[in-house]
Amino acid sequence: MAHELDTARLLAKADRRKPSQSHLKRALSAVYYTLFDALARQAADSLVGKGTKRKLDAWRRIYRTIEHGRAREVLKRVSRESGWSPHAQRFAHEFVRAQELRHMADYDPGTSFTRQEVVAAIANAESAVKALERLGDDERLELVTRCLCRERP
Amino acid sequence: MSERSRNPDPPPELVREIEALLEERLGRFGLERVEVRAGFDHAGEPAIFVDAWYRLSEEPIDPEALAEAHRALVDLLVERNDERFPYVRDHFDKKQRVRGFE
Repeated sequence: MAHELDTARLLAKADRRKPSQSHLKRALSAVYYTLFDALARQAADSLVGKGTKRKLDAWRRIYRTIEHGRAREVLKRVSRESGWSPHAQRFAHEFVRAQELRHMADYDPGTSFTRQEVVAAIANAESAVKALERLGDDERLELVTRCLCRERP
Repeated sequence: MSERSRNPDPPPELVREIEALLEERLGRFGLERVEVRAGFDHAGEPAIFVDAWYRLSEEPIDPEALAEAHRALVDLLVERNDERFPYVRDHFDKKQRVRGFE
């Protein structure tokens, strides 16, 4: 999904003199979907497997089971709870923030962004994806299963 | 329950702590002023919205320093038993350089 961030960079750098709000907002949308895709991939890789396993319907099913609202809810908690590694908290924080910015970008026509704010968001999304990839196996499983599963009360 | 009682304005001492934290970490990038207010995020959950305004700075903005400052606000709110998520927006000068994007 690195190419999504490449797209975001191209959009943010387009119109050198006066960046278009439309491009900047599309870039913020790409930033959020990069993080969402990274989370869904980690979930499917952790629970089904990598390599040829990625061709299985089971892999696709897990990938598509991650929900935006549930992920936000869980990751908001992760960003505040003790016991998580700095990498997990970094990803969690960027995910929640990026989802809010994406909502502003997509649904609030009164909101505008500067190129600088958008390129900073792109750089931070890149760092957040790397942070997610650095999680140990157990912590990654804990994170993705919390995002996927609701426990019965 | 009224919206204000469910989501009160951050107390002045917390606002001052937020301002001080951002000034300490981001002052070198030309941070000029900070606005802090209670609000609701897109999911309707109480949140704290922080707008940080910067003048043009010689020093390029470091996205990593921004991320660390934003994260530190989460820790500050946890320490103050405030359950709201802090959403920070950084408003830079249109000519401001950003490290890695020059």
